[in-house]
Amino acid sequence: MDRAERGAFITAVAFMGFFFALIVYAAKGLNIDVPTCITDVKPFTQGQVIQHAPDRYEIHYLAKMWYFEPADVELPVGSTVDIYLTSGDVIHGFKIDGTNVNLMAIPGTVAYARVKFDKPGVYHIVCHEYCGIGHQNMATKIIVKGGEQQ
Amino acid sequence: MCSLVRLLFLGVLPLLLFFNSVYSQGTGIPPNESRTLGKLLPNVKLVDSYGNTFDIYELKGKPIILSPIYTHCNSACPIITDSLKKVIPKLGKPGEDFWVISFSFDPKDRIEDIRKFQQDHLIDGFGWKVVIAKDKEDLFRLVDAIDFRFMTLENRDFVHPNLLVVISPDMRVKRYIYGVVFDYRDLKRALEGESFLEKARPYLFFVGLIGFASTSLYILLKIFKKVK
Repeated sequence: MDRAERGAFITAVAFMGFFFALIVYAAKGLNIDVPTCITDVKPFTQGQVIQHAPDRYEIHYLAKMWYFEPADVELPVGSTVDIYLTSGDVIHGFKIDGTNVNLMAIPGTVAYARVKFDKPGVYHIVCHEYCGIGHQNMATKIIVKGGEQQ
Repeated sequence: MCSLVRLLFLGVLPLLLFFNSVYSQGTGIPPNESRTLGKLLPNVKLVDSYGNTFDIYELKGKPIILSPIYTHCNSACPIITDSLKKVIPKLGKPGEDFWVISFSFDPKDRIEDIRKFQQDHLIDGFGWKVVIAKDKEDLFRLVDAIDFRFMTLENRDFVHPNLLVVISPDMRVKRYIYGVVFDYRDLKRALEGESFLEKARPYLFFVGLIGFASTSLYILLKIFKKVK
């Protein structure tokens, strides 16, 4: 094997090992959840915010051309939120900026992710999958209030 | 060619069938067992159907069969409860050999609801308790400890995984049993002492990791030696 070839090979393997270690760290060390897609339920047809406890919420997001339902949501800081997402028409994207929630709204299924808002602020949500002529305006936000900022 | 066909039939097909059966079992979001197994339960306050408040740690010393349900359920939860009722006499007497707790995770359930559930299902309420958490904080501490997730629907219905959780006498999450009808042998095995595999579970991942690392190292060495 040529020296340059061997160098490239070792670099590639080292990178793969590094990324694998990162995945293991994310799964075991950071307890990162993988988004779940629920396929055996009838998707909801209305978006809503359900409060179970002072810091426990469930938000059902309905993505449609070209808006999210519910629109702006206000939450207290420290809330743990179960996010369920479905689409009323075509495939949409769903990304909460500043968190690792990155879902796909697929008609007929419900996507799920859990997120905890530890810091107050405005978390913008955008549709990041092209869904038609109004795609660039499809956004909403979660406003997390309280904490030291107030 | 022949060996390839055999590999497909003996290796891949059973694997596909296995994944198929695993996926068709659950509804909703299954718990992440690797995060909860072996972990200590929080000492939550529960209220039983007679209105008595107690700490879950008061039940220490005997295993607990924890069955998360909600009282307004008219699909899976009554089937789970009826199946438990058939299976439990084969395992022993609840309250003496073990505890059975039907735990309502519906945040809106009150004592009247669980009392009605207890009476409708002819549960004694002592050895087999029907409980709600004392407050919302306790409810979510317990629900999080077993990583039980549910999705709210209209009319107080929920999408949730169908399972039992077996808690060891020292209040650790021991085993999940999935499904709506149960085999008493599964429960018996879960109630008995820990098997070798269960004790080794925390280390299994690292054993796999070592195996993976050594295999890749071996392959790399092999590749380079071949060339040299």
